[in-house]
Amino acid sequence: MLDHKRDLKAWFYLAIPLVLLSIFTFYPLIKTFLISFFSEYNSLTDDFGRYFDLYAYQTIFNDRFFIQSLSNTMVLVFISVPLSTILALFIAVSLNSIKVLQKFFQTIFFLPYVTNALAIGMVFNVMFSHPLIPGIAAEGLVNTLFQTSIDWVGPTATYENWMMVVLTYAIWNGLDFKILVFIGGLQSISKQYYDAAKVDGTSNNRIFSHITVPLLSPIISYILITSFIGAFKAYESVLAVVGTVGRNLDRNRWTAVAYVYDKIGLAGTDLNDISYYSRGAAAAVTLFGIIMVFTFINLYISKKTVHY
Amino acid sequence: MEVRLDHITKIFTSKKGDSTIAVNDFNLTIPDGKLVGLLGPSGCGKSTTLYMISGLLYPTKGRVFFGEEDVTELSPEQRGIGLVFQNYALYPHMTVKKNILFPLENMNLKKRTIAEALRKAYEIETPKEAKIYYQFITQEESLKNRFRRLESEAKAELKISVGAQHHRLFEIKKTKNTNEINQIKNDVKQKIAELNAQYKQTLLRLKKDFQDAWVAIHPTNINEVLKVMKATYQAAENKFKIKKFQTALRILLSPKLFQFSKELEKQIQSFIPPSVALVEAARNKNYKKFMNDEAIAMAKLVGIQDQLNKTPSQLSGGQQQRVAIARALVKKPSVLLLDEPLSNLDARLRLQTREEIKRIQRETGITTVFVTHDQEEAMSISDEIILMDFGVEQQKGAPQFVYDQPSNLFVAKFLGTPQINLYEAQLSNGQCAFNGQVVFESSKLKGENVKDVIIGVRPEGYELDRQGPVALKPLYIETVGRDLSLVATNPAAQTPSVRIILSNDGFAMKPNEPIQFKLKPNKTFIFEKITGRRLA
Repeated sequence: MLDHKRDLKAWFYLAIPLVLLSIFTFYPLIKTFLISFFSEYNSLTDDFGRYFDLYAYQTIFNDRFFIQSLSNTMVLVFISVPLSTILALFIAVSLNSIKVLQKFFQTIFFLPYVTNALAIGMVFNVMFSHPLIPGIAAEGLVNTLFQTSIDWVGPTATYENWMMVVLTYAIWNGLDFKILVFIGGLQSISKQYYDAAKVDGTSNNRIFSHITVPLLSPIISYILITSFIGAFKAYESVLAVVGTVGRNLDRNRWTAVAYVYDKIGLAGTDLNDISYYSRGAAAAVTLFGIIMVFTFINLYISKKTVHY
Repeated sequence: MEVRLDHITKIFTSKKGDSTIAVNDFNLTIPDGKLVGLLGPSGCGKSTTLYMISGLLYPTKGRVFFGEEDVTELSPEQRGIGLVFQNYALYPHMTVKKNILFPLENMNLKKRTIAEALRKAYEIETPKEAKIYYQFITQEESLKNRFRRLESEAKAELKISVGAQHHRLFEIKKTKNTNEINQIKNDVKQKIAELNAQYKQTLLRLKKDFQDAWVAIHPTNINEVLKVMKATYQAAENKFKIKKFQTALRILLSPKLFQFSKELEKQIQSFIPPSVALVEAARNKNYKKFMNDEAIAMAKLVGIQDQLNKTPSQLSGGQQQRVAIARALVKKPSVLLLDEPLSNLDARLRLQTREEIKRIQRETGITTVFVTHDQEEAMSISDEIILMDFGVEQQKGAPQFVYDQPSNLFVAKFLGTPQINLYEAQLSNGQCAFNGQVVFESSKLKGENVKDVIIGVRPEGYELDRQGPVALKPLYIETVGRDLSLVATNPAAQTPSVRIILSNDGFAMKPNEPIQFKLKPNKTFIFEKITGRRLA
């Protein structure tokens, strides 16, 4: 039998986080869902309007820029996350195996984590900068280094060039935390497994693929899931390298979150009487759904492959 | 295979420059096919010794021999050893079967077997050339090993000398005499530079020596020899293949068509040259099945054949231990090493595993070395035990012999439960006395001077005797199972109480009334107090 007195106490302790969660998570979540279905929602008067339908969804899926923003997001997710994870794994393994200056290099790789995102954005801007009118200002570091005159991120930059810079930023920016976590994981693998492998005559490649990676797999899976979610929600990586504020960003270069931001910044309705706010909400809910499905797939796969 | 350690020294140097001698000038011979226990208190260097035998640690000085072969510079897998770790180190993400298979998969059996078969084939086809070629390969290998050895010796010497210089500086820094420190600092710097230069010179000389020696053994026509060897064999194989093809065609066109493979097999036997047969057999062997069979055979040997598909975490400690032994044995090592094999098991399992290890060792006949700090464990399994302390061998021999005839105080104290009882005594005229009573005399002690000694008496070395010289004041009697032990005190004893095991069932005592005992001479040992050396 449960002790009801203690039951009450437990609820009391839970009350504070529950209240906070309700105000800041559950209420906005539910309201967003609702707004996305009330296509006439007025953000200024907080009036839901008369219609409960799927027009907001229909509109965003007919919106070229939303599809483009989803595709941008997908490119970011499926290129930057695997690449930066693999890179981080290799860097962590090599950092872990060197003896001299290990702490020094560890610090170097961790520095970006404690650096302000704006500062990093500015550095990227300077590195890839390109004067629109030749001669007015110096070329950026990259152009100078490779003796080129390419607009990487400016208004005249091609989509590929721009994407490359964004991916570079996303990969590099993801490294620091991943390396830190991987090194922690590597150092918690008992040295005895490596000794045993040595006695068994295992080659270095086999040690990596048959011992290090499987024993690190819980951490790899954790990193992959959180980074995929993070990349789906990417927004600041796009802004940081371009160095502009939201509205000035080229609409072809939006991520899904940028699209949402843009739409909820507009009041009123479009020509078809669909509220912009509802469109933003619908886009947010769509992204939410994609992330959820993807995370379930991720969890399902890791359950089969990860050793705990 | 016999394992021999020849003047092994291992020095660990910390980052600060101070060094610890873990094993000091240690000599050891482990006879072929024996189960030997390395026994000693924690930190005595026994695990270091084991790891040096395994090749996971390299000795600072000295040589390790497996049989006649010097394996000092070889890595663990080249030595061909099996090692069972204290915590077993089973790979947690692999099933038992995969764990056992893992070392086999690493060996690249296919490549090895085919190379071996090719060598035999060459020896059949072109015996003269094969002899020249393989002789050269063997000589080159041993030459390389020899120079690697000389190089590592030079390196060790450099390390020790540089360490000594650092130590000198370290010592002088304690005096805080600035003048002297600076002087010594410069001196040390100069000496180290000299040592480094010397080392470089030695390396250069060695390299030149190696070149000369290599040229001396290198037959100038080695490339032609190799070419002839390969070409001759290839010709034989090609001839065979053509004939095989012809035979196959003939069978296809004959009424025996329906038993094609059987018939082909039969006809091939009549014309296949023995050299080609060897290579073909090696190439066609099913290595996967072979490895699988080996793993299952090993699992059967250790008695875990029904656990093959479980992961290590689903097994009990004893079963994990067996998996670890199977994994160590599967590559058919020449030496099996066990690091504290029983320390992670509970008392009951310990007894069972003890028997199991003994059985496995007997069935395979493999030379086995194990390390333990538990004397009971060592005495119950081993054919021979070696006692170590401070990195030095104290005594070695059959367990019972070492127990009966300890060569010094350390050995006597370390072996036996309950512990040996020690009394402070004086020796004069070949007689040992404490509390004013002569308790022991021996002709062996006649030549010794008057001195302080320690008398050690095994707990079972007392005999009730009303006229006996030793009087013990009883405290209480302890009965554990079938043992009856009397706990008593004596002013001369080194410990507050002594423990005596009595065979007398009808024994009764009155509190505070001393009991007289006689000491059994074969259970009583006399040690010199200062050195711990045994006198009688």
